[in-house]
Amino acid sequence: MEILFPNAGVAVSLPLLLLLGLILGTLSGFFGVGGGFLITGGLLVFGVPPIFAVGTGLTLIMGSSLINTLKHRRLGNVDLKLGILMVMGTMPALFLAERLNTALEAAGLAGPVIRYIYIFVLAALGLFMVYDHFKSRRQTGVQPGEISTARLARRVQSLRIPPHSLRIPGFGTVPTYVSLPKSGIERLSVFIPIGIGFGVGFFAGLLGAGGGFILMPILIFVLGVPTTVAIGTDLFQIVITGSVGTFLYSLSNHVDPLMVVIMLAAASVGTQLGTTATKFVEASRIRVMYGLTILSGSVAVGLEQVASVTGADKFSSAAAFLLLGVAGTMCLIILGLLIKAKRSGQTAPATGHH
Amino acid sequence: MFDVLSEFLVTFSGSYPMPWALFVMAVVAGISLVLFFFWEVVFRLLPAVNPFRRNQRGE
Repeated sequence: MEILFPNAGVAVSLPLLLLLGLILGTLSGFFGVGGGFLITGGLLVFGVPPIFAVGTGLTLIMGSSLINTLKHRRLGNVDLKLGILMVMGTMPALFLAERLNTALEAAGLAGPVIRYIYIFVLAALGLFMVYDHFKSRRQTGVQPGEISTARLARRVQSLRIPPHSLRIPGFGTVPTYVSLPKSGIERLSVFIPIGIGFGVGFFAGLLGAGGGFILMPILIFVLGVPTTVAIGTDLFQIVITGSVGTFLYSLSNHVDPLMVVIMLAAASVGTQLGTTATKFVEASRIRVMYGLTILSGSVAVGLEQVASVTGADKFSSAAAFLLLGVAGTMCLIILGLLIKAKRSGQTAPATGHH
Repeated sequence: MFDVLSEFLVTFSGSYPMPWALFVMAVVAGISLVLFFFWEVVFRLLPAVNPFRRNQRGE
């Protein structure tokens, strides 16, 4: 059963769109990422023109992240103060990255540069998360589920960056340190989350993604935020970056809202599954599953690059099928873990903090 | 009905870029909120259809 989408000007199978939306919602709720690399790849396989695949994907990410953020907020997983501080750094970075992107596009370098950054960042993050999982399991005397970079996180939290206060007309002197009890951080310089937001926003703008796949590991391993809070706060950030992307792509008429609404309906079901599963699945297991997913993303982008160099479409198709296959498998594993945890009467992960 | 909707979407998106961009954002945000509250209500009102709950009671 195919539907002709008027804005994108392409007919796409309805069951396949619903399946893609369901997978995206589940992974987004479970990992706290937008899933830009997955949704764009999926829509390309379905024959959607590339620019519409990116624009429609970003709009879907905005909607599904909004649902996921609300759901995680209800579970107490969103640190709004931390999220707002990061957004302050993200907004200027998005526009700066857009300028750089335009310059790269004009020089004909945008495609390869973006793909090589994707391959490197996804592979580095994925390998590190898998390594961290096995290292933590092997170490004795370490609390189960504790991250291997706990010392680094404590050092970052204790950084004291001048100026230590700012004089704001009408408000008086305001300290540049905040307490983030939800994230378990007693005192943190505001320049750290603003700087993280800036860096992630820059990468997100450059790569045309929500940036969640970079921010989630940074929050956990560099800032020491508990995994579930990192997931919720990350999603809050994606709502903002996704909204900016939606606005820009809609302005140039590269979004098909009908396609978004159909996939969003399916994604909202997956969201329930993914977010609920974070309550029952161990944090360390969430991290290793995430690591494996983005590692497959790295391989898929690598295949895309091979396809663009050799001109062989089979590599491009293999990349999309690899991504969808791994994402679908992860959804089944999440469902299985949720059912197993519920059946055993487990109410929350034993390693709740990290 | 679908033809009318398609024509509206194509005409609106092609003629008024700024209102169109705001319209898309408003529609997606609105539908997201409706879907969130819909599932919240469903999961609160229909606990009886939850097979896990029955299983936990049985234990």
